[in-house]
Amino acid sequence: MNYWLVIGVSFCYLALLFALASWAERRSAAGNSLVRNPYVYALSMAVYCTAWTYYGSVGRAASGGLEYLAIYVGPTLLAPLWWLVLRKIIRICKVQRITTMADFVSSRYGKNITLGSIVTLVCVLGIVPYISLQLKAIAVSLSILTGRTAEVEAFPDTSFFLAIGLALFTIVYGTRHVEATERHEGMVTAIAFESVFKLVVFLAAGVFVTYGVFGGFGELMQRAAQLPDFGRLMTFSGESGYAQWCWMVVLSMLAIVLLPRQFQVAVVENVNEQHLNKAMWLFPLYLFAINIFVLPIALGGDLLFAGDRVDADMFVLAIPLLEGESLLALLVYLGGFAAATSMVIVSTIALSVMVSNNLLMPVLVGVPVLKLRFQERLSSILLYSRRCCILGVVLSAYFYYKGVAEYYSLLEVGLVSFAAVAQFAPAVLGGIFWKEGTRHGALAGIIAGSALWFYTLVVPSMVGVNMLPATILHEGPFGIAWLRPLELFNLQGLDYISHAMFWSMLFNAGLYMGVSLLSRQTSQERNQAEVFVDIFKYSTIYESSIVWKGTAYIPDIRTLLVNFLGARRTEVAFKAYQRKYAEPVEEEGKANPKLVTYAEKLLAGVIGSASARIMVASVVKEEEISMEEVLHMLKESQQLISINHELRRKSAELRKATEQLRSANERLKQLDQLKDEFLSTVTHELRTPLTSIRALSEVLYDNPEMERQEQEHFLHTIVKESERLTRLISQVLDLERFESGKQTLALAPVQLQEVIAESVEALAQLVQEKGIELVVDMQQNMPAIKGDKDRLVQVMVNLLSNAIKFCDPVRGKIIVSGYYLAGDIKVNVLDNGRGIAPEFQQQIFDKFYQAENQTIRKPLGSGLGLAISKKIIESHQGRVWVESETGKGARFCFVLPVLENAGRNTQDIRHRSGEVNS
Amino acid sequence: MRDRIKNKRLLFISILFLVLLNFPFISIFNKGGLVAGVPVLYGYIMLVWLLCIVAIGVLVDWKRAKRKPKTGA
Repeated sequence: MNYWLVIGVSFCYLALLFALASWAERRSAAGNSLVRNPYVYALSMAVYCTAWTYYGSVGRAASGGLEYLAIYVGPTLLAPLWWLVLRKIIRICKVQRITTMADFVSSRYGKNITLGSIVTLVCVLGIVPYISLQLKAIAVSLSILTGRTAEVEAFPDTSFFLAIGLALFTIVYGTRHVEATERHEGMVTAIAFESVFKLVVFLAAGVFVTYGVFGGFGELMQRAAQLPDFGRLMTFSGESGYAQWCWMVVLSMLAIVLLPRQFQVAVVENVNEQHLNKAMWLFPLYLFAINIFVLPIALGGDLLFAGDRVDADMFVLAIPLLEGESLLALLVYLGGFAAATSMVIVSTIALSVMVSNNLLMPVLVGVPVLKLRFQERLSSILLYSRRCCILGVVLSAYFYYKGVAEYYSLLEVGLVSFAAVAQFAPAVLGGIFWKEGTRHGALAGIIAGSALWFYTLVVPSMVGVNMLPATILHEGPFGIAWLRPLELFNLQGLDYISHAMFWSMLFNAGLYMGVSLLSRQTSQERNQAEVFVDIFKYSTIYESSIVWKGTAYIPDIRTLLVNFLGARRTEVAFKAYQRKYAEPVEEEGKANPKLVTYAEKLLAGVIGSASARIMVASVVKEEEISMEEVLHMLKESQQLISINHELRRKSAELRKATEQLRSANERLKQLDQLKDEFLSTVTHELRTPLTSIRALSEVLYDNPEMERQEQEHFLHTIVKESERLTRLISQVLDLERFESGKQTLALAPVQLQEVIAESVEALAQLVQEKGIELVVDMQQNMPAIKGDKDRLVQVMVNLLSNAIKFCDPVRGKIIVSGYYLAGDIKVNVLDNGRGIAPEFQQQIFDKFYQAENQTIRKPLGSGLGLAISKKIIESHQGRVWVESETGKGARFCFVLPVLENAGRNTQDIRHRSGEVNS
Repeated sequence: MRDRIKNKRLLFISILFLVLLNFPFISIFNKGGLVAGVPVLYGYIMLVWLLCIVAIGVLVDWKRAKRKPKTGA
């Protein structure tokens, strides 16, 4: 394919990335962020799949068999633990504003500079070859696609210019702000896009090979089974095969958390911890999807190129070329390019922040001469140093590729990088779950582990490029046989990765734990250990969980922040502090410890925690704190949290109680008002008969010679009115007794038929007088209820006299019915009067309701009868109500429950009555 | 509280599949030949791997979606 066409397409692709990133940044500036969703987060994690996955897996599968799967199965096995491990790391980094793995380790162990620099160095040593691997993949794929071999080109070859282009992209979108905590939305969007692109293209190539070149998966397998190597490729060879698989799974489990680029996308660029939920299964699914066609492509390549000298790493590109599908080949090349660029971009950002914050800054702020000289310009120095670091990393990767990496396959270099970052595992995992891990332990572990890593993995590769004599491998250094790098301490039978991992992890973890148990933490270290391990307890009150004693002045702190953040951001930060702690930041005067911690945290986001510690310590006067003080104060701040919880709970309870009190008070007031109304109504009701009695008596008194007939008439009225008065008073007393609960019921088994018969009998004369037709229809053999018979008769009399009063004056008809149903006895009293409108049906059971509303029904009663009836029924656990429509009569109903023991009584009664009857 | 249970369940999945995809379990399937046109070991690893992903997805996302269906969009 035309060389310049491919070059042009490559640079067009880079330009597309620039456009995409700046579009995303503009959208995010407009408050319309693309990155704030779990799918972009999961896709950005797929930066894990580099050119190594894209080309290298196929190569590995073609020559080594199924072990390549371990690199993807490992992260899947760790993914469920992200909620436990990664979420904790994310929270710690958010709270402490940690931006790199080096900073994380250094922070945990007392913000130690040495530890931070060692981690940074190991990262650089481990990752630069990995980046160079990506450049190699680009260059090799380019030369295969164009048929132009790399050797033809002189020094500034194409991959050099592509590397410079990548560095530029990273500088533009990776170093926007001096604060490393700032998210790089443009970059993340570009990475997510690249993840989709490489997956789609790889799947397309897979489908083409499987179904286009061969007749499907089955046929491919059938033909591949004839390959002489097939049996070896599709199984693990004995013990060493299992060991290799096992160690590679472990290695990739660690790498998925510890690789600088994974740390960058998973922790620093995380916007919301909840996004982990989706990523936990989406990311493994991505890995699965990209691996579906690896084996078919590898076997297909083995079949097609059997005997030819074609690099298995490049099968995915070589097969479409062989079949003459140049467009697909170009797309495959671009997919590989995408996989490589995304890794290079993210890794260089992570490395540049690490180098500038953990190697450069401690020197700049730690050496007084330099610090005085550059103090004013530290912020811009920092930004430019980061940009130089990016360029430096990319260039050194390029030269490494030119010098060394050309001789190695993709996978080998990749695994060596994995093994390098795996050396942080004991310090990091121990750091977040084990409070006793100390700085000395971490230092010893990392140094020993990295040294062994270097000796067992890097030294052999140096032999490979003739930098060291080959005798080291076979006879050991200086002829000491048990020091041979590939068979250290005479351990044989393991492949080189398992061998290296075994020795380095053994010494690393062993020394970390051993030395930690033997050494003591400083108070500051102890403080950080507590906060790291219990981060979910401390994250809301971080500033008060860092113990600090000394004297600091606010203007000094302010100047320090302005130097790094600029005046505007400093103001914003102080305002945020003010909101959080509700205490103003004064212009003058002493700063309290919380403010000092807050400022240090802000600085840590810019220059790393160790350098921030130095900077803050340089402007304040600090006092030594003893370990006891740290533990004591941490305990206090924990108690503070629990006291806070307690307080919140108490105040909620208090609120509830107040609410209850208020409603009770309201109710009391209402009752008071009701009582007043009641009194005034009662007195009014009492006065009416009294007035007429008095008036009639006076008439009789004044006219002794009145006719006998007339006197009798007057006296009759007086007697009637007195009766009414008596009745009223006894009703009021009744009602009062019920309301105050003083009324006791004489409970006994009662047959409701008897009650009704009795009350009908009492009113029979009145019914006859008025010419009313009264029908009683009761179910026979109803069970007895437990009740006060006299009271129930009172209720029936009340209801009946009500009905008599209000039924049709000419053709009055009253129907009384009663029946037993599902544990209740229901009694209805139906009249054919003018009825009661629905809106009054509740109120008529109120005291004096009728008296107060004399226009609605005729003033024929005290207005207490229904109220008393209601009380009586309710004190029998029953219910009374009225059903009516205006003009269609009214039906008063009540139900009374048949209690169980009452039921037994009924049987007794029946039994007895049966005896009597027989 | 719910977090702790979730962590335990996820830890269980992780350990379970770590065992399923490691020695000695894997040695049961470590033999040549094809079953239904698929190499035995390859088929086994891919299948268990997919199961693991489904298990995580069901535990984490499906349960959550069921708990608050309105915010599922």
